[in-house]
Amino acid sequence: MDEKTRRQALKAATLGAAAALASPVAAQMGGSKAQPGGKQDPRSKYPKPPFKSQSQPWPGLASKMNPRPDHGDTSYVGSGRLTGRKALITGGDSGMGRAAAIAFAREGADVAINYLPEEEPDAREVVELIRQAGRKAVALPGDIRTAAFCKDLVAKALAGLGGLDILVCNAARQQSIPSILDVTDEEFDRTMKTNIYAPFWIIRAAVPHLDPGSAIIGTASEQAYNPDGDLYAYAQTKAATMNYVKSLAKQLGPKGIRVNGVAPGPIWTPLQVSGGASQGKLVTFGATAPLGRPGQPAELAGIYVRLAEDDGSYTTGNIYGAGGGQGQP
Amino acid sequence: MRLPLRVLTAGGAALALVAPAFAQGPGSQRTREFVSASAQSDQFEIDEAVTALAQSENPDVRGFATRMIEDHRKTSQALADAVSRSKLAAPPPGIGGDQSMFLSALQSARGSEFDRLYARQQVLAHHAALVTVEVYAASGDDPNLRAVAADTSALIQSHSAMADQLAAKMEEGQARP
Repeated sequence: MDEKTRRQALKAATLGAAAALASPVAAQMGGSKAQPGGKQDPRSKYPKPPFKSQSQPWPGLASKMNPRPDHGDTSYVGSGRLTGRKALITGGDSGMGRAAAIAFAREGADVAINYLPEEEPDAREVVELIRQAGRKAVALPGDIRTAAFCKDLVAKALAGLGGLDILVCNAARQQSIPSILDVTDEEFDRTMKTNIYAPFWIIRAAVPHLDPGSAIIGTASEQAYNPDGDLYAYAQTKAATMNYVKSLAKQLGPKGIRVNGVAPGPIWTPLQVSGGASQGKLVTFGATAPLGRPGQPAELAGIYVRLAEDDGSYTTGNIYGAGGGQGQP
Repeated sequence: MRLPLRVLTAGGAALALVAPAFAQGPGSQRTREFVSASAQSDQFEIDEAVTALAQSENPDVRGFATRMIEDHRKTSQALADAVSRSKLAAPPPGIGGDQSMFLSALQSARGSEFDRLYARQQVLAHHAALVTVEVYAASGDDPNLRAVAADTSALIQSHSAMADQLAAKMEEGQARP
């Protein structure tokens, strides 16, 4: 099949998959469209605050949020930008990880996703979407807070995908705790293990298997640059993420491996309803942004694709933001 | 490549006819800025009050917040009516940059610190709003808006007094052992 025919076939498959998935929920979302291009008013494209007060136990499910986040399930259309690639994404069940997983698959990559066992219902949906895009999906549930699991995770991803050349360290622990006096040792440790240690263990295990042209992506945050007072533990890990991206880029550049980060502003994900934000913040989430609303994970998918694809070959050691007009970078 | 003169002239004429997508709109700069500031102020009050109702259990804070939502929905409507009567452009939605920082700080607060912060912010916000509205009421150039400013000024004065009382109560609460 020549390149043009293959791209057309892929597009058809993606649109077919998107049409098959078109649901009443998706139809309510202003942002859903199964065709690329055009433009929409970014202010009204997605839900604005006020949102209903809501709370779920950690880690929370996207499928139980009101409104449901848009991960690009029905709107992302690929065009072969990641043909033949093999990706491992932590936190691939919901949020930006899910949006990246769907986009990567629609762009032609095989995708392994890691998530917590409690997130299985969300993860099932992602696995199904990856398969509907005609790609291989590998589900690797488990808690990344131990070196042993992380080593095993990489080994399983390599075996399941038959190789690895995109690594997205995205899973995070975020809890809003206004006073340091209330931050327990256990909570601090949990945050560090998930957000700093796990990327270290995973990247260290993966690097020997990444050939030149491979890409590593870390999810940072606007919190890295201007942290909120109630995110003391979480925010410093995002500053660390922003920093490790830059030092690893220097270290791995000579090996032909690119390392970049994504810094979102306020994004509508299960983190926010399971303790990552207070109820007060949740009901007016995104009201602080010039666009007047929080972002949806789907609005960041293209960034992850960009940082992973060969076309982005000179981008390394960089942080790409999407903050609705607020924050850095 | 040099374009023939008639093509250049036609192009220039076409440019002159095309209205920019975001023309300033009718009304003096002063009036437009007043409309924008008032709309932002109303939205900010509503956003902060919604945050307070989701976050605070203090009955004084909740009572104040409920009142803010009711009153600022009304002032918001009154402003929109005046804007429409004067055939001015509707202000863009949302809050201003400084207000964004206030709201962001409030969103991160909890417990009694939340209550104190909300009250302090409300004192500041109402003092600022009062100045804006009194200045326009005295010397603004649009009669419909000047009338709205005069009405709102009385309301904001009462809000400001309420905010001062709330803040005093919150500080007093902290002073008690």
